[in-house]
Amino acid sequence: MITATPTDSDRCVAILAHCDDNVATLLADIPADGAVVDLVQQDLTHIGSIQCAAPIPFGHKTAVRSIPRGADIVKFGAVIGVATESICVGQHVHIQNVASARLGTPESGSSDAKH
Amino acid sequence: MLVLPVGQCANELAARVAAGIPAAYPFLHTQPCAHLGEDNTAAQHCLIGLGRNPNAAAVLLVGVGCEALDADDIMDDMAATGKPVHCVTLESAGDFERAVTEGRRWLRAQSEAVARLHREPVSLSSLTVAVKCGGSDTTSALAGNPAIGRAVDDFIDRGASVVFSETTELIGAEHLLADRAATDTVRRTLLEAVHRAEERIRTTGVDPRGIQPTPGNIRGGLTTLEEKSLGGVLKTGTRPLQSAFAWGSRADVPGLAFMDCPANVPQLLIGWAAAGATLLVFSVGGGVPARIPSLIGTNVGGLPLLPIVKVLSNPRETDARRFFDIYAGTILEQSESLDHVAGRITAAVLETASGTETLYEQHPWPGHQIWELLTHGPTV
Repeated sequence: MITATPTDSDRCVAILAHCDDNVATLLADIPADGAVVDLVQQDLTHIGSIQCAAPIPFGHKTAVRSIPRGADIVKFGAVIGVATESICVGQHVHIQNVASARLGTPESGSSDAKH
Repeated sequence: MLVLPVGQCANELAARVAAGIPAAYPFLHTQPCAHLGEDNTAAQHCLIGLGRNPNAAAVLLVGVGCEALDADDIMDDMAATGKPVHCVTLESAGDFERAVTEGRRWLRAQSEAVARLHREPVSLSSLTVAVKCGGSDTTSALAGNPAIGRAVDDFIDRGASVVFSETTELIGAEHLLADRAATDTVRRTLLEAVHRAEERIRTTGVDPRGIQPTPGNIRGGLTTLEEKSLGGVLKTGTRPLQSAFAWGSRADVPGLAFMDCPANVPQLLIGWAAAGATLLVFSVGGGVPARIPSLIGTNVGGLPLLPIVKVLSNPRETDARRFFDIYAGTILEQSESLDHVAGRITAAVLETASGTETLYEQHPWPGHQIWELLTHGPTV
């Protein structure tokens, strides 16, 4: 759940590109023991904060709301994919739990795409 | 001065004619006598377009004399621009060395006139700019692409034309562009092109991930093609889409245009130059592709007809900044506004269009260049 907290310059920041999005893009590496992440809009106005639990690399996405299996992943106010498993707030959102809604099947969402 | 083979058999003639003559550029390419119908038509239009490009001061068409394309038609269309155009063929010259001699004599005679050309102010309606993404990661859509989009809006409002392409990378975002189409024809042409691109992928039965998005995109945080496309479309700004045309062709009205071409850089550069673009703004996210000094995605370096303004988004790519004309990651570092970066992009485009060399042009990769034209049909 997003809690309203003032921005601290030492804290991690993630950008919510559109107000309808359920994922935000991290502008910091989240370490293995997690971190509090400040959510900001594209113009960097602070909106709230969430707790990220796991290591997540810079530039990757984290969920700002829980996303049930089969639900749309929304970024830029549009559907960018489908959740292939339930996703909690603060969890890493990427190829291990998202499939394209246009190409490939949901079953191939957690396939052996190496990277 | 463009030295343009009518077919690939004339590549050796073009290279020999241009050798050592300053400002002569042999556009060596892959047009064979083994293509049919539409591919030949597209190639012919493409060669005409390259010859007509404003960055070509003069054009020497060279051929063997037995090509599938019509040298006379190509010449006439290019000559209609008023620029000096000449044609030399093995057939008309009699033998190879005589063809080389005649070609070089003509080029040297043109050199003086070309050297005397001077710049004069023109309105932005004379300018066509192409825009492209490469090495995309999630920072592209948060910095470089929206800043380029603002600059694109500004150019179009001031009368310039802007063209984008990479049809495959519109899958997932095409509805946004379709909503901006100025006419039903434009809308239909765009949607059909994207549909064809999607079908081509589907019919292979292969999971496209690892190709679209690429391993580099995925490493940089892009999860699906839709996400990449939605981020990419930001570089097209917000203005109406006025035209949609096939590779090898050109827009018929000014403003924002879509050119149907896969995300293969050499073919994109050729297509845009043939469509009259004289400059490209190349938005790069980050990761290892950003660290290639010249250009990513091209096996042949750049095309002299199309100077490239390179824009970098990812703040983590500190060492690679020296390869870029514009660093847009300041937006994410909170040290510069999006509008201010857009202003710097606009200024760089105007300076480049007025003759200032881009970083790439100052340090070109001197690789041997053979340009691959886009084909759809069989090679027989």
